[in-house]
Amino acid sequence: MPVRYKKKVAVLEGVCAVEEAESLLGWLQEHPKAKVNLKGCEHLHAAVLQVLMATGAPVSVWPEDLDLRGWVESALAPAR
Amino acid sequence: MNPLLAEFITESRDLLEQASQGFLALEKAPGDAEILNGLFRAMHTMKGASGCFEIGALTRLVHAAEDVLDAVRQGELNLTPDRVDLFFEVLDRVGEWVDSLEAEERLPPGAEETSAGLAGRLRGLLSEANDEEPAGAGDAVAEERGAADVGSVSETSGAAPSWIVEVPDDVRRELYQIHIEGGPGTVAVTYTPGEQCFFTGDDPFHTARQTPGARWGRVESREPWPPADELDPYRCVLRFHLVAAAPVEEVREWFRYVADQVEVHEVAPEEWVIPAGPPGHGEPFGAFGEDARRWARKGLWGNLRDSVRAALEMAGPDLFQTSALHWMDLVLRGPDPDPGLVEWLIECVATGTLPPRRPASGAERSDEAKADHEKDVGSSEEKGTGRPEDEALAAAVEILQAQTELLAAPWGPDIRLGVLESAAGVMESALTELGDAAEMARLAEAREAAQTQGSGAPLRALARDILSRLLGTEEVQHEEPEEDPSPHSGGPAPSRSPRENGATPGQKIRVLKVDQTRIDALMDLVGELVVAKNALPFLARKAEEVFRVRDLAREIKNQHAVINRIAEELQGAVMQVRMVPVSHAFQRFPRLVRDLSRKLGKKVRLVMEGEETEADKNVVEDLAEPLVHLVRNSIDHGIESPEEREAAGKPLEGEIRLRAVQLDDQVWIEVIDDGRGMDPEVLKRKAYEKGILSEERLETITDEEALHLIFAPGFSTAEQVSDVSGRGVGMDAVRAMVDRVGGSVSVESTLGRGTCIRMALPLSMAVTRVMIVEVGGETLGVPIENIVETVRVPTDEIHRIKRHEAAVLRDRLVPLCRLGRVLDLEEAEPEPREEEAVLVVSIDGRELGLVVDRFHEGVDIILKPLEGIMAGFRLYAGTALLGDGRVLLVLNLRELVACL
Repeated sequence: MPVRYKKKVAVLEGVCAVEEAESLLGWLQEHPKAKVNLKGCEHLHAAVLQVLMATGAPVSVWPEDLDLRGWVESALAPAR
Repeated sequence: MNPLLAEFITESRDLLEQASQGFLALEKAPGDAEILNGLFRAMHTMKGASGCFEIGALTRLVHAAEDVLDAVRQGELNLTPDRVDLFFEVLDRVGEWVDSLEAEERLPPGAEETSAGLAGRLRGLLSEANDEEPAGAGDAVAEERGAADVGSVSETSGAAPSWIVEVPDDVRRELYQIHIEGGPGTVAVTYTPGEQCFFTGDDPFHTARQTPGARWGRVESREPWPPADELDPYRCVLRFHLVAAAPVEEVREWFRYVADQVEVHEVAPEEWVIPAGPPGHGEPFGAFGEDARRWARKGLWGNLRDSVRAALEMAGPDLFQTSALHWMDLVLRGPDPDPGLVEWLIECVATGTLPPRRPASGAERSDEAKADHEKDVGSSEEKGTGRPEDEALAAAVEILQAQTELLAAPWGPDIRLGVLESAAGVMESALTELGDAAEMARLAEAREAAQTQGSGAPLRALARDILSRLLGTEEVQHEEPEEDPSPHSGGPAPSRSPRENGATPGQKIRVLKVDQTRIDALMDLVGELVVAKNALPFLARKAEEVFRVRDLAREIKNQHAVINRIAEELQGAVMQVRMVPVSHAFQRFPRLVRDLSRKLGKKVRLVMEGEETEADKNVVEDLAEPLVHLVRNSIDHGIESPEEREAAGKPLEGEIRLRAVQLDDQVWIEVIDDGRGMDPEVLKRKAYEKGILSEERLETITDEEALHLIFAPGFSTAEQVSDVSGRGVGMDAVRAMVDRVGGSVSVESTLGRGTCIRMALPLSMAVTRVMIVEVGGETLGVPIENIVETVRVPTDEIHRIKRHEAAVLRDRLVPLCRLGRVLDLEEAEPEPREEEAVLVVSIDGRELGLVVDRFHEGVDIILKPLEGIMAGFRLYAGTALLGDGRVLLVLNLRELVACL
């Protein structure tokens, strides 16, 4: 599974497909204080990315994939 | 014709054929990635090659086909039979255009509309695959047409989008550097995917990330985010900004399915020059400004650069001024910096703000780029030569290499200018494909230089230069000295990079393409040699009988034996040259069978055997037409409908077998079906009703002979024939063709089991072997393939059956025909003979004994058809010149039988 839901952290790994968007959104709604761990994430489907952006869930670990990090950092960094 | 165009035509035909076979293969193995790739490549190659000529309609159509195939390859679209039909239509049309190109060097009128229509239908398939975005597909077509008026696609004009300021300084510097070092060009893209795009399986984020040459990107929302519980996760409200180092065409190509959602801006290098960072305050920058302005005014770039370096060491990191200094350092690296830009940067450093920008001179930019590009090695690595987007690059490399070679070859003065011009033209097309504007300017210079010098050296140097940049310098061999490549030098042709084509420098051409007329001329000469050679035995006899010199006669005979052997070998060798595999005639059938069986709602499998069997080119060419008739008949009338087959307990899928076998000097082509077969009784009755068969013949005709009735001319035209026999359309045309090339056709059929039609054709048509017979003092030739045997029949064994004579030979009753009487050559009072010389011949499976006066030897002749007023005498197949100068008339036996 590309998304593992822990107590307070959703761990996104590998390639997160479009199907994950809805469940991730649901989970984030149920766990408003949860964080997202993108360490092992290689790619997010745009829909998943959109969920992360819309909910503003804080990112606990940024992706190791530098290209992906470059893309999502500006969108998900709380400073923006 | 322009040799390039000629080459394109040949190549296109091959590619079309290849594509056609690919589609057929794909129907058997849907989704086979290898076949799909092959198809895609075929279209892609055609698109690329057609770019060299003014045939936009063709280019656009194959481009559309390529795009659809790409979608199929990506699994976005299934190739249903209907869609394959469309592709076949496209292939046919392109085939016609290629024919037209060959004939008139231009596309036929109306090609534009046809192209637009078909391309539209092809792209329609894309929107079927992606029905949320039909507009995008439509726009792609519009873009294809070169219409720059697609409003939503921002063109290269106008200022760079404002957001490029947000691109990090180091990324912009990198892009600038790539640009001025002759790299692929830089673009800024804004991609606003449609709201429904997730439902079509699109991942716009992926599309954006994978943009060729992407260096940096950012994603933002187009509207404020609603509270999480009101968010629709499947409505896309994202917008992507990205910058990439890639040719603008390549990026457009990448986004072609969403062309209406993308703004692509080609960024000029100076547009990247935007110092960024928090401004620092300090005296050092002011002082720097004083010196720097002075040096800049005097153009002392070296001093300025040293000063910039020194200032950089002192400047704090991340400051605005530091950024401006870095930029200046970069701009000054070129040998010919833009003074306006440098001065502007100096002001940035001195004031700590962005002063208004002076317009930079584009021409100078490109000069700089081109002057700079030689030292560039890095940018090509960044392009990543392995990716599919770089096929254009690979093609360009190939083209340039070929041109380098072409230019180095020694050319005669009369054609050298043409060669130069054509090489320059090809290079121009290649560079256009690469979108390399700077090189275009250099090319124009080199072209002029080449023309004034009358030498290819400037062009060649440029091509090598570009090559070294495209490939990275280490791959291009510079071992070739810069010697004068004019025709006098005759130096060795440059070897290509072995990695590119695996060719070794000393490799010779192994395959020659020769105009057929030259081979035909050779064949004619061989024919004459054969005839001349045949004169020698006559000469020998004359030496012996007239001049009484037996020794000389023997010498002549010996010489004749030698010349005979050589002539035969020569004939064989030339014949060999003309041999082509029958697969040339077979290759169209998979398509024909597929189309017909689909149309008729039958299931038919085509099996081809012995395609590698070879026969004379003319025979193979003439074969195609009758084979079409035969195969069509087999499918139309032979093979039953699936229901019928099921009822008969046969496999649902009918089988048509095309078989070629070589037997001695004949090649047999068989069309075998496992259909319903033919009923001889029905055939007989119908033939009788149609007046083809006389009543008495109706009684005696064998079943086998009855089957041959399908070849009778009257049998073929009327439709009701097919109701009865299930055969007939064009069968007489088949026989006519087979006759023309001196072959024969036979048919076997078992009711309910199938039919086999066999054409026995000579391997070669050039030399015919005939047997000479004498009738009433005249000599006549009888084609050897008709002859069964020669016998002497005692007169008392000849029986009379009513008005007809017949003899029993080997327990068969063979009707006899006195040739002299039929041809009206008989002497008034024929001497009574004890036995008659009978030549037993076989015509369409019927045997006939020709009574002649005397048999002579068999000879090889070149059969010439009758011409002029003689052409009406169908009784004779033609004439031939004998070795002693006499003219031999050769009988057309089928016509003879018809006259009886």
